[in-house]
Amino acid sequence: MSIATAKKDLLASFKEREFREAFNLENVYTTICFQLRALREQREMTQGKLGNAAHMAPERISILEDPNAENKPTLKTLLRLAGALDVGLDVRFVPFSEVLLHSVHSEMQGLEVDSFDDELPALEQQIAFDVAVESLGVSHIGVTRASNNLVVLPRNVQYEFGARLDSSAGTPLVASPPIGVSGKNTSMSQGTVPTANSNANAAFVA
Amino acid sequence: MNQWSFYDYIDERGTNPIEEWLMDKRAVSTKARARIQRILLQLAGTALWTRPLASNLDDYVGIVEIRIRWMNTQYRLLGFRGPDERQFSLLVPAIEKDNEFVPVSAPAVAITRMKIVTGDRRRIIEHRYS
Repeated sequence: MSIATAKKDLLASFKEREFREAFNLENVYTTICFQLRALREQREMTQGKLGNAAHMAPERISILEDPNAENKPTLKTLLRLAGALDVGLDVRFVPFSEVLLHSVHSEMQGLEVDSFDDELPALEQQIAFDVAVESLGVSHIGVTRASNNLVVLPRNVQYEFGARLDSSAGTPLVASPPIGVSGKNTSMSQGTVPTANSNANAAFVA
Repeated sequence: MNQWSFYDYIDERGTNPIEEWLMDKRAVSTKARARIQRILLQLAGTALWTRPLASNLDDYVGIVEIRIRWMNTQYRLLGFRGPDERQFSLLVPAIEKDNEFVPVSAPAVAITRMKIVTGDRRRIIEHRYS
């Protein structure tokens, strides 16, 4: 599927208010149906097992996974399912650009979400990294992410840093971002967490 | 990367019966079209399609029906996996009423069109999500 063409087609239809409102509704419920299935399969759960965890009949789970079903889940039901799956639930208003983007990237893998316990180690590392960067004491930090690299540049030395690299006058300190910052395969053990004693003018390059 | 790309059958006059059907508000309301297009987008990202959303037609080997309901209308899109890998060609639009396809010839027409498409890949065009 050509993503760009699909977006162009949808955008043309979004100009009709009735279509975009209907699509908005379908986008919410279709996503919920398929994400529920993705989360259940990610955990290798049957509909019965998820039903037990959420205190619902397996038939109810089957209906919730069917985008054609007349009965749509309420927020209360979604929160119960979130509890059973140990994931968060984020309900918010968004621009249609986000609806459009989200609906053309519909891969099931993209709907998978780790449970809190599973994401905890990476989350702790991420926050430790953020705290360490904050503790550098620089009020305005510029962060650049490119592929698997994270470059943290204090803004007041960006030009100086570039000049230093060009002239090979200095070697930047090196640190890897934690899991979740720029790539799943990186870990803190591969690099150095910046500390409060780090040179505020240093650059961290993974 | 998406698992499937949808294509529409093109008839001998060069018209697209799938697109014509979808854009005909007497046949498919705007709200029904929104549901159909959104579900197709989701199926494009789903490797394994399951019942009741999709199923094989037992008496018409190779033909798959995508089942979409809006209000009291049971929309059916008949197609097949192909002609190439990760492609799904939409061949015939229909509705199901009292356990019968309308038009009743829809599955047979789908078989005919599947053979045409398999022999001539110019008889399909990428599905438009308008």
